[in-house]
Amino acid sequence: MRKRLAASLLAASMAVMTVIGGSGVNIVSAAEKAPKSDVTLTLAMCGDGTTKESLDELLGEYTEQTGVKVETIFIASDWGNYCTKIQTMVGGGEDLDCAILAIEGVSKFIGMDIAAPIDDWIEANPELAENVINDTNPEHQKVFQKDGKTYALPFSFNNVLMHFNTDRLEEAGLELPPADWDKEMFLEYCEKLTTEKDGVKQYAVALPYGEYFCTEAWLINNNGAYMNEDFTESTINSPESVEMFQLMQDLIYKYGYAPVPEENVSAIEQLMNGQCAMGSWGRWPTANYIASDFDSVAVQYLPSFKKNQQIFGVDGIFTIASSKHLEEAKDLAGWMSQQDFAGKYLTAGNIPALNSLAQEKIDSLGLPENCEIFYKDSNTTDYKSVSAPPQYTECSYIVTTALSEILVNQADVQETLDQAAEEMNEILEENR
Amino acid sequence: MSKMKAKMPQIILIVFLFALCLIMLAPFAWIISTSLRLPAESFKLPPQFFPTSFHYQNYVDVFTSFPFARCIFNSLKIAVIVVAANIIITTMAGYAFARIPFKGKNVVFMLILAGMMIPTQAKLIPTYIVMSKLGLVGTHSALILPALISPINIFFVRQFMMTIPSSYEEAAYIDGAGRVKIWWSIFVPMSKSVIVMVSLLSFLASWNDFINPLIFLSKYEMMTLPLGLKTLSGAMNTGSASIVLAGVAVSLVVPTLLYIFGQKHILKSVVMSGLKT
Amino acid sequence: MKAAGGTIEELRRKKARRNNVAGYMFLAPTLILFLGFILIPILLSSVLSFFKYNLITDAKFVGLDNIIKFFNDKGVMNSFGNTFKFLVILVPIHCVLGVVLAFLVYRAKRFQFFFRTAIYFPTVVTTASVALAWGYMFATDTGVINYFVRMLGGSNIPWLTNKTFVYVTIALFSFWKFIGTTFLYYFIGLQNIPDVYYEAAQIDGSSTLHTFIHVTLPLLTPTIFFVMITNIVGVFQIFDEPFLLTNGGPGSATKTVALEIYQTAFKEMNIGYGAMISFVLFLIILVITIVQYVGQNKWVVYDYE
Repeated sequence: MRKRLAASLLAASMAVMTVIGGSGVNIVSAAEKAPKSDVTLTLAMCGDGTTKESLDELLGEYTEQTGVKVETIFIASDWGNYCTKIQTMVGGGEDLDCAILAIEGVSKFIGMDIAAPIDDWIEANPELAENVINDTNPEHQKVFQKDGKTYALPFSFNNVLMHFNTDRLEEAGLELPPADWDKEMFLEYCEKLTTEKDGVKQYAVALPYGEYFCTEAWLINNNGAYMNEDFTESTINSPESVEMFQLMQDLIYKYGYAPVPEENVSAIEQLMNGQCAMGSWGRWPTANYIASDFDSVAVQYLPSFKKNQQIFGVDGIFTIASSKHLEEAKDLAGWMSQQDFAGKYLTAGNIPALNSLAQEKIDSLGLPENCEIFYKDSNTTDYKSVSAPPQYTECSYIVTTALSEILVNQADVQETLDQAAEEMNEILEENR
Repeated sequence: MSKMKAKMPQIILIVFLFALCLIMLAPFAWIISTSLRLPAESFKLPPQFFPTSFHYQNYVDVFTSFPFARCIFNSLKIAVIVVAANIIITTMAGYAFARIPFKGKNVVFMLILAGMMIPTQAKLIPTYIVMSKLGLVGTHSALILPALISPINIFFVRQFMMTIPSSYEEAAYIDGAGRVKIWWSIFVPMSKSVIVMVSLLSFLASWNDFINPLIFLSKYEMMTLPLGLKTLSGAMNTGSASIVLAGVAVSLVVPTLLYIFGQKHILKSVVMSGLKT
Repeated sequence: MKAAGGTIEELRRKKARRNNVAGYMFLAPTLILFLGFILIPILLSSVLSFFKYNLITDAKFVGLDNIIKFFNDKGVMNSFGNTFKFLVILVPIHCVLGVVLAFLVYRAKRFQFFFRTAIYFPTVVTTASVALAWGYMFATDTGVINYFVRMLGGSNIPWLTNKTFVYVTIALFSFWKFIGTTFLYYFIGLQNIPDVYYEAAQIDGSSTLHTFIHVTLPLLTPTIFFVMITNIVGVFQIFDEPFLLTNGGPGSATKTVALEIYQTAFKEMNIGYGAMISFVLFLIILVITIVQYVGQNKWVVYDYE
């Protein structure tokens, strides 16, 4: 009885909202004009929704072309939490047809049959598919393939670079370091960039905290990684990895070059307000730089602790297997991978996966200084993929907790990582 | 002389309480003054407890960069439905427990009271599964339905109704009134103060609920205020503090209004006198 | 007395039957909701404990696997440990400071209204929003609190970045945010104590402290009992404060059982194991509550009229 009361009240209020919003009228007229169907698809994106307006506008074009309406959901969180939210939504029976998904969640989603293969779409739309396949890095494409099936086409990617607040560099009388700067030079920079201003300490570098992707970027420049390449054994306690974690801890407690990272303090904001002079991210902070009119920023490769090894992470628009409109969903995912859409949507933020777009977009934004190193050539195999096992969620918890123990609680590095490795091996056992 | 002596503790007491209350209220002053600063200067030192600049743009931004108004509306809608339904359900149950001698009353009452001891988290997982089977995940019903039963409120209302003199209902009986009428036109109006208190409690519980929206809701347009604020601040951890604090300041408005109007009743209600099981 | 329907016995039975029907009619909505959202979930969570389930693929019966895993799971044990730490810190704060504060305000002859309002006000504001503000305020380098610490000649206090201090910070937050609730309960309790008790104490010439300990406290025991029970249950569920202020960190220093359940079930999608942990939580609370109810006769004074 109460249930029905609540439901009808809910329905009534929804009806009121629709009438007020006037969207009821739009739906009818759109459906009348529609050349094809009256299907409404739900698309999930990862992000804070600042691009929602432009996305909805672009998708409006799609609706005009096909009659298929698209409702967008933005989920504001990191990839790990985003992936689980998508999983809960699918498990909870919410309508979801397409979702952007980064490398981290891919094997999990394919393994659990959440993602649908798009081989039939590729066959039916050879031209559209070729557009993307011929214009993206095969390494990126490989991420979305398993057992001979293809699940998505690359949409955008990121690598990790060191971002610099150039005002701080200037104050310290420093130039942007060369591409092959090493640990020694990095520490020299840190020393010079650690100062005091108005009684508040100004730090040299913000460490990657709670960032699975960015932290591994540091490791692989030292020949380390979280795990081996077939995800069967953890290497987080290998001497190379330990050395990097130890360095990060020392940067805070031994040298005082880095602030103790904090849950509620945004490192990107710290870079912009000069509290930290350096920070390591992909290209996504450019969106913040532009939003805050911040242009005193430059990028360089991470210091070559042992070598200059770049990391990459790539995402694609996936079709959800439980979708009630699989065909339309695949069409939408395919449409979004095309140059037309990607070119208009991806300006600041991630790097477009399409080679033809990437260079152009990076150059035309022109920010940060030295930004051309965000992108190499089209078929480079120089990048190494971030560790993305099917048990990504669990592993990322282990990594971020260990990172927090080491950076905040000053736990013994070797001991913490040995334990993390043990936990990780337990989880990775099923991959053997 | 002795009068002075007697007064001294009073003065110390009042000074102490004033200091404490200032500390209690200081965070609000800081929130409001920081929310009026330029985003780039949100953490500029020294901090301010009184607004020094009036950058209203933050308040505009919080509404435009996020469907914030919609979140407020959602929270209000959910809370109002929960409170309204709660008043009816709780007074019905309270009346039955206080006044109707029926078989198994004590067992049922103890069972429901035991429900008070069950932690939310223990119910979270199965409730999620139930909701997913009902197709209600992602809707506000998933938040409203479980909030309709509140054992503690039933307990409060029952305690209060037990103190209502039976002469009232006897008179009504003689006039030929039925139980429903007695409940609605005698017990409900006479329990006004406890109803106000219980309503306030369930409003706050609903308004402040965080874990349920976190699990059940994913669309921005469906989010409640607390979840919306957390989302706003946590979006890749890049939200600007001043804008978030403008949102925080806005979120304080409804509870403040409610408190101003409700507090006369809260303190008047002498429910706790009935805290004897 | 003569009735139309028959003998008095019949009439009484009829009335009893009518009462039974009426009683359950009035309780119908409550019982339905109780069944659907309290009883069935609890039973379901005990059943789920024996399954491996991820919401997407079919549930798989795993027997006692989850229970065995539970007793060997250091992470979960750590969470239970943290929750007990919160219990030991927060329950006394609320139970003791709440009553002291209520007594002080009750004794204040002026500005009582202002004090009540100021102390109670933080309870009504949205937890999530003020927790966000506290996160900014207690930041080590940029926070306003440490600014004053530095001004007073101290050095930065790692409020949220040290596994010990973080408990102090959460305790402060909990006091600030929630003391109003217990304060209010105690305050109402104090108002309900008839003046004759105080008058008697005054005539005996006992001091304020003496009156408080020997007159006020015993008369407040029912309220104290109530506050204790609700606080214990509340602290076992503590989620918002660590989730919003520290996200269980640093490391896993403030990861509570509630956070563990949330993470296991809704992040790692290990629904069965999450249900298992939540069922254990339920059992612990149940036992503690029963012990409390049994033990209350020893110290709770109900009939003081």
